[in-house]
Amino acid sequence: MALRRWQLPLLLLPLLVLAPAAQGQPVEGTVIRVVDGDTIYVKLADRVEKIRYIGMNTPEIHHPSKGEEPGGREAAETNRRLVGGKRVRLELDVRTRDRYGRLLAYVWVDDVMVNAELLRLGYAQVMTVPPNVRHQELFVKLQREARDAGRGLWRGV
Amino acid sequence: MDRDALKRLLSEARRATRAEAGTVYLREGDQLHFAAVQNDVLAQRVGAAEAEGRLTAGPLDLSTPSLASYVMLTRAVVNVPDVYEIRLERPYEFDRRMDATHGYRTRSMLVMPLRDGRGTTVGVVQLINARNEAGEVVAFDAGCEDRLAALLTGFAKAGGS
Repeated sequence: MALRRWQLPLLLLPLLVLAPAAQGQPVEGTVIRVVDGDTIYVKLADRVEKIRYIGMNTPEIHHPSKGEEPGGREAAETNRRLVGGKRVRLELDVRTRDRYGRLLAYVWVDDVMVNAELLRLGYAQVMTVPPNVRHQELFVKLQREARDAGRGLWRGV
Repeated sequence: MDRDALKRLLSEARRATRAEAGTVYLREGDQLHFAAVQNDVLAQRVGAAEAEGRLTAGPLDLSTPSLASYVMLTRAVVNVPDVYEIRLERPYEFDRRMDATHGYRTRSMLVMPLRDGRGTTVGVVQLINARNEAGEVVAFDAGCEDRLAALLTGFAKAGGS
């Protein structure tokens, strides 16, 4: 089906609203809901975005086939403690959205990157999805330290 | 499973671990089939496509005591510094005939199970000959294991695409 001229601005809208981030300017907003250990909703100036943390994965609370995975609630609670209701800065990488349309981001509260902090505390595992690999080395290092120290989900492992 | 996605996964895995070669196998029944094969050394000698063709052998029976079969059946991670030095009591062994045929020396090897989005093990990723900064072949270290595991988790989570 041919694209109509009036449809073009609608198609470009997602690109336009992300333009500041693509130019290196931070996207900022307030966390209005913590879904689980690696997903949050953030209210930006003009809209609400569902954010998936880049580079790590936490156990699911509502897994489609497995139900609640061990440690899911702890990870979600830790995430809530770190970002709940707070002002956050979103750092984007090469790919800005996943196939579910979620915005992919490194989430900062002041000078703390939450993705890294969850790994450091042992409530997440490194999960690499190229091309978003900017902080991969740091994440692997933090995971190893958490595992060696038996922190969080690594306790007793 | 998308073969192009598996080729990309293998390239990323090799980049993340500085491995000069690698293979992705997919299980079909009681066999492992080659889904992606890469080898920089042979590719430099004869070209990437020719190298891939030469290295893609017939399917591997899971009854053979290969490292890939072992990982497929046990879901274990196997990290061997030198496959020519595998002790006899190990439940797997390395078949040197491919090396002899291609004039190649396989030394270090890291093998991990490949899972789909539901957590089912569908195949194996096998990386060969990690290189250090100086270009020497070395063993895969713990960081390589972590980086490969992270990539495979991401691959499974993305539904193998």
